[in-house]
Amino acid sequence: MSKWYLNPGSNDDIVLSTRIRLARNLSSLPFQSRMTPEQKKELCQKVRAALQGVNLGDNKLSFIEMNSLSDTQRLALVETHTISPEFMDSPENKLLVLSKDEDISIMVGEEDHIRIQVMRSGLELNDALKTADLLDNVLDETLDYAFSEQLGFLTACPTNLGTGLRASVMLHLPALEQAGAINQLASTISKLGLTIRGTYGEGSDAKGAQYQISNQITLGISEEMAVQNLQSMVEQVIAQEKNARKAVWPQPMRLEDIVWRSLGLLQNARMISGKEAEELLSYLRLGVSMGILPGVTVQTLNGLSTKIGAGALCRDSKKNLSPDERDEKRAAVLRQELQTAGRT
Amino acid sequence: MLCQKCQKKQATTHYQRTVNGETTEYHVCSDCAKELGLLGNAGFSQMFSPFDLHFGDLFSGMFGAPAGTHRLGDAPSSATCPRCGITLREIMDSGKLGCDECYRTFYRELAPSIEKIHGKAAHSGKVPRSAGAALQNRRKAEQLKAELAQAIREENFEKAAGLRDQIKALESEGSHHE
Repeated sequence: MSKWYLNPGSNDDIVLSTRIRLARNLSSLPFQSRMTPEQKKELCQKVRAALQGVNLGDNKLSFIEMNSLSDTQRLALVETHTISPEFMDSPENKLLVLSKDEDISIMVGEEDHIRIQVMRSGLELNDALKTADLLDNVLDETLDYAFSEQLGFLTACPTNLGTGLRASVMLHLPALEQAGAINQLASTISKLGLTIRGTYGEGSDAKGAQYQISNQITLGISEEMAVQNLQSMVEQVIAQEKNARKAVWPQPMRLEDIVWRSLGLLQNARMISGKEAEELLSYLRLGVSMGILPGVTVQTLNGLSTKIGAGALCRDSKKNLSPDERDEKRAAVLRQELQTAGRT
Repeated sequence: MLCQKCQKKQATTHYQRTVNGETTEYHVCSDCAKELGLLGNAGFSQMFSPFDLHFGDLFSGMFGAPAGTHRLGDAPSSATCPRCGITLREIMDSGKLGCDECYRTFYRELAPSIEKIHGKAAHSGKVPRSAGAALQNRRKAEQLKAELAQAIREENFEKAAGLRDQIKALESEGSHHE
């Protein structure tokens, strides 16, 4: 077994990752924002005890006090989506339960008492849900969840009422983006209680053509149905993206040119910003998906994107780097990792 | 397209939601998106997580909507939850409740917003141990029936037969308990 993002998954050339998240609260304690430090400690102890007996084979759980990590270590966890940005701030009395493969992370003391999160490479909603469900059952054996027959699992924010389930799929959609089809897609999928989100353009949050589709409604729809809806929508989007690629780049040489030029920059740059790197890596991913680029796999690219974030660079250098130092270090990591890319 | 809010920068965040057939669209620049809470809390940490849109911020936004567009219940905003001590005003401002009892205390005030987010709906899906075995079985059977209907629509009769057996087993278990 290896880190989850290095595993193959269904449609992993277009689907970067699948995430399942369950929100849970204990009925015996007030919600997070109204808890005293003592109650927060009590919560962490209860969850720790409830998970002692869980058997996940080699994929062992470790229990990490958030205040035992440095700022950059915590930031690096946000960059790999292991924890939420909210969970990174004010780390006192917060507990992270993390599996060896980093596919399972249970945040104790987020907006809700317990946030169970399971990540998979590619489109693997059912598998991720199964694992999350199993962990939820283990916790449910000894903890009393806040629940009402009508409103389901009671959550700090009413948007999560019901199943407390947020299922999300991260897609790489360069052709649909170039074709200007994302807005149209958004209006179609919103009719099905789903939502698409992507940020691009200015700012360092630009992520090369990456869009997330997730369920929006959690009350009145079962976990299985929510996941099934999302699955079928994502499958259609994948098909549309594949069609759009033919339409957007009718001349194969145009696309080949962009892909190889991007590799040239990544293999030679001495300083590179996070934004530029993401944009160029997006073309590399497209090149791998289209069978243009030998010597590199989507797993290489998945692994790379966990190493070039600001937090990861500082963590791996074991010091706080200035923005210029980060750009230099990022370029070095990319050159190193992409050495053999393009060679048959 | 220019940002709908500042009318200056290019709109880069496009967000749309439909609830009960009512669609709201936002096309805003990243700065305004942060300000509106579409990207969650603005700042350093937020730049890195594309996951988790902060519906909570939208929820509190709905609470703050001008009178007439959104009806609150009868309780004054100073009303307090007897268990956790949070006031209705604090819930309205943060979009977050203080404890599970708040849902009972402020149900009348919260119901319109919950309906706006999820539609008129009651929970369907998993039931925890604390809710009791009978309810767990009933809910599971209801859910399997929905899957059965779907299997029949898709003419997947093999799956339908399997589901029918599971439903029968759950229901006989239920009657046994009663």
